[in-house]
Amino acid sequence: MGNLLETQVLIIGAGTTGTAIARELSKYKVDTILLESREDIGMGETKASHGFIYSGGLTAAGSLVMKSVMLPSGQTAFNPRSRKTQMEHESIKEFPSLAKEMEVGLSHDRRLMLARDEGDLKMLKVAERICGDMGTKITWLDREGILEREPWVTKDVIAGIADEGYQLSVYPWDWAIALAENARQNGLRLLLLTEVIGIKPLGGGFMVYTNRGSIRTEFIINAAGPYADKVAKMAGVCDFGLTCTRSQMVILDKRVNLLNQSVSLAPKPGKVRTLRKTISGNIQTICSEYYPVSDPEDTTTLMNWTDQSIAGAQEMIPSISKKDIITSYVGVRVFNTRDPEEDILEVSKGNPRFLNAAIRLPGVSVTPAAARHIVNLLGNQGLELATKTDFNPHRKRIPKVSELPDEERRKLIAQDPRYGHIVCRCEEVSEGEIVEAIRRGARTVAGVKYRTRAGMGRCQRGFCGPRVLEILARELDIPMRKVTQMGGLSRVLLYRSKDLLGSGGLT
Amino acid sequence: MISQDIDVAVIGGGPAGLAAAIKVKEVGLDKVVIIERGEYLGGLLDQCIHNGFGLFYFNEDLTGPEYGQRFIEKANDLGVESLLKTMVVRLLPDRKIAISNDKGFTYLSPKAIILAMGCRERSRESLSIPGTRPAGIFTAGTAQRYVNIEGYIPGREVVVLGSGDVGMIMARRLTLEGVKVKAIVEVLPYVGGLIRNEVQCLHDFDIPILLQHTVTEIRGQERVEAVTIAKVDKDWNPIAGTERMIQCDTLLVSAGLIPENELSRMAGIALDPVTQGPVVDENMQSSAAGIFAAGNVVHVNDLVDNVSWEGEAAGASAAKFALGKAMVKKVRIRLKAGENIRYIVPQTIARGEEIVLSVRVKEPAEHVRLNVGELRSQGMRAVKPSEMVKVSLSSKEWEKMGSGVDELLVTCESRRG
Amino acid sequence: MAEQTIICIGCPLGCHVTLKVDKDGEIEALTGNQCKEGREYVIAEFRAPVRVFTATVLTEAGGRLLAVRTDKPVHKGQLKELMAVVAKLRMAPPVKAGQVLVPNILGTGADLVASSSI
Repeated sequence: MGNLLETQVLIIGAGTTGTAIARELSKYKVDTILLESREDIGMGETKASHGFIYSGGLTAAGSLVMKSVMLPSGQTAFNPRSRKTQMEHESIKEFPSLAKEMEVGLSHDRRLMLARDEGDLKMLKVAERICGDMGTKITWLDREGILEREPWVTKDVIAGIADEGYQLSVYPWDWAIALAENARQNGLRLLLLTEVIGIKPLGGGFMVYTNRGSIRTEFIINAAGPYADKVAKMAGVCDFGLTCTRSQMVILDKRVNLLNQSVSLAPKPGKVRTLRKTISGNIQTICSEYYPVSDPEDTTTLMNWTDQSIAGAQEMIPSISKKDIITSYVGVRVFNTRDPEEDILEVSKGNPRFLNAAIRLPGVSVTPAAARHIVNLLGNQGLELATKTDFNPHRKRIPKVSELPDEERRKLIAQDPRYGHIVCRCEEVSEGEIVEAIRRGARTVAGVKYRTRAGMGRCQRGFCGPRVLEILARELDIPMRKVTQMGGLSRVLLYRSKDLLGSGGLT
Repeated sequence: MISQDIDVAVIGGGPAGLAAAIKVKEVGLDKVVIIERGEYLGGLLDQCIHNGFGLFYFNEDLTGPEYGQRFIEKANDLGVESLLKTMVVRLLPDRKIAISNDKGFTYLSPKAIILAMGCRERSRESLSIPGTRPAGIFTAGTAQRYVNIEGYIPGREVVVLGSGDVGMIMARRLTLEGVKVKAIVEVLPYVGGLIRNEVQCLHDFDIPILLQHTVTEIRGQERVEAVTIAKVDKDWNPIAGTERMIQCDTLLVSAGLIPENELSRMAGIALDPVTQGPVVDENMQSSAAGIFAAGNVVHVNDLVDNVSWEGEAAGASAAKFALGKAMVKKVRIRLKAGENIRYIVPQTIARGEEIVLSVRVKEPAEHVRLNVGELRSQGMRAVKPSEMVKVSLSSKEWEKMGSGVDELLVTCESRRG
Repeated sequence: MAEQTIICIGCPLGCHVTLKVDKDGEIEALTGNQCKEGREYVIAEFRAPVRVFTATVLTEAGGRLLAVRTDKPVHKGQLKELMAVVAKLRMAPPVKAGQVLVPNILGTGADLVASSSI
């Protein structure tokens, strides 16, 4: 990195929050550095978050859930008139055009909430009221109507409400990567594998010490997710606490075609049961309990959460089976203890140049408005915001051969034959896509996976694993043994053949 | 590039595909092409550097590469065309296939197709083994590729989950490369693979076999650091209090093979829910006319020799089909799995046709009789799920069958006395 | 007199055959087999437990590995020693499958031959 870098704005954390702020700032003639301690963008909370773009109806459902399961009792986590909710409203309209500009997949999904008994019906009525409050149109459906939309749903249903708007969703890591790439096109400097170890306030800014050198900056945006309190403490300005919860999701084989769009069961205290179709067409379960956790890196999956996920799924779609699972993962969600209804988007009380951007779920949903808000605050704090005339909002995605019409596919292969060599069979990912992902910053198996989907299919890297390793080694010009799964000490292959026989014998 | 005028397209250049393509040429058809997604022909044979191949087909004890080479050389001699690093990405109705390689994206319309895609391995994720998701977890076959083709040893302390043949072979292989294989963990009360492998891979090297155990947790943040194992009850549920940790840096998962039938599904071909492969008849023809199948894509085989024979049968039939020779309409008999039978391949046969059936039992048993309806009863000393049984039906035996019957019940019963 | 158990690998029964061996190493009694082929196998295995040895050899400059084997079975006790020898070998292409790499390796009477080609 060199000895000392200088910048005007240093954003700490490259998740959905940090990257959104970075992109927003890149519209202005402001020198910005985005710092990330991990190997790649979005590898913290972001990579396991759901990417739901909250519309009114969903927020209603979400609020019922959050009230009942995620926070210490007595605290409400949803307020239709909160600033967070206002920001969701403001932001949702922007997603279709943002998705188009940055070529990120965006799915449209109708949410159906189901009732199987009187208790459920009461909940649906509460949801209906909240929706009304938020101006969301819903329709009541009887069993026949439900089965028409979702023929595989349990015959126990007695009624349901359907959100007449579309619920949007994105893959959050896809979103964050796109934002970062677009910001970089427009001048953002990105530093990965760079961890903040100390912050010293100076006149007119800060000296920030990292594991790779020092950065002098005028402003700091703290978007460090579960470590935001730690970072704020380093600057001596922490006035909030954070808590984390974790829950497990399960992904089913794409071939399991038992769901058209999303369904949820009416929330019951302590229970979340949602099934959703991801952008790639897999059914995802959001059915396991939320559990408080002190270590935000604790993403261990549990047997009873897997069972809970399937049992919950079967309550909605009885023919789902444990055999349909292709993978499970755990997502960590961070909440601030100062004001769980709101995100912390503010100038810190202790230092006028240190801004906090601690956004709880729904995260991606508020980022367009939240990013603008932070940039406005920077302006208020004295940062000159001269608009760039040459800001380019268009970011091109890595071509996905499996989605290209035949003629375009052929043209692409003619330009670069590696787009014709399919490496990941399950997700139909070509060598060209993997090479491009590496060119854009992927350095690990995980980096390639999140940018191309290679390894996310049913065989879970059984076929493409060795080939992705070879390509990474070749493109990064490192020995195959140095390639890691997700950075740090996670080398995939530890020894060369015969290395362990060096001492002349076998134990 | 490749001529569009193809008689038979063989999807997969492993042992099944090679044998099939050779047969097509031998029968006299010229335009047969093997479409192989990997870098070379032979499929998994190249990475199976151990011996035990060809004991029946060649009456010799060959290694995987040696066995594969025999067929590759023959295929070359006969002028079988092959497309390497080429993936069939679509299998459409009317036998149209879409292929992708560095030369482009093309549609082919061969007169007949042979599915020979083999199978994939069950992953840790699909088994829902709880714990962390660090580096150091491999399926046994993928580890075998790293060890024998790329030349890398995944780790120095390994636990193997599953006592299937691939797992046992890798346990031996890794031990010889200086790795400490700490245990084979098997959920069943008996070893899953061949006895020969149990003796020559595990006993020979003093590798502990933990029957009726499973891995209940994987630990380690960036790299595997340990696994927790526990004893299981007869329903495979872990028994509380029996957990213990085994320190290791690598977990090999050898917990089952699944025939790779995404293309078959795309084409709407009927699949057998037990084998998870296409339902085939005595010609190895699937439910789609002109689409044949052979080898592990139809059912997971124990011996490559059988895969080659199946390939030949499919090749002969596909050639006939491509030549426009009508398959004589015959009375179809369904084979039904009865007592202690897991499956029978082919699933349907023509009445009166001399045939050798491939049968797998559900549970191990000793001193049994394998019965095919009223037609045949075969006494056997012992049967195991991991050792496929061949049962032949001669035309004489068919004579015993009554008229108006369209099903044969295959059973495996204990002999009395 | 000592007892030894050998598992017969001839068929799925996998009989555990018990051998009573006298002080000169001769078989006095043999029980547990269910067929004569099994008996023959166990006796052969007792007298000379042999295995075909297979492994890989490194080639120059990190190229593709060469698969190797002994052309005949060797005593199972020598497998690890053989591996130590093989670990030190380096081959350079071209090598043809079947080519003898180390004749009469470790005096076993078996040749180490290439089982693949590079």
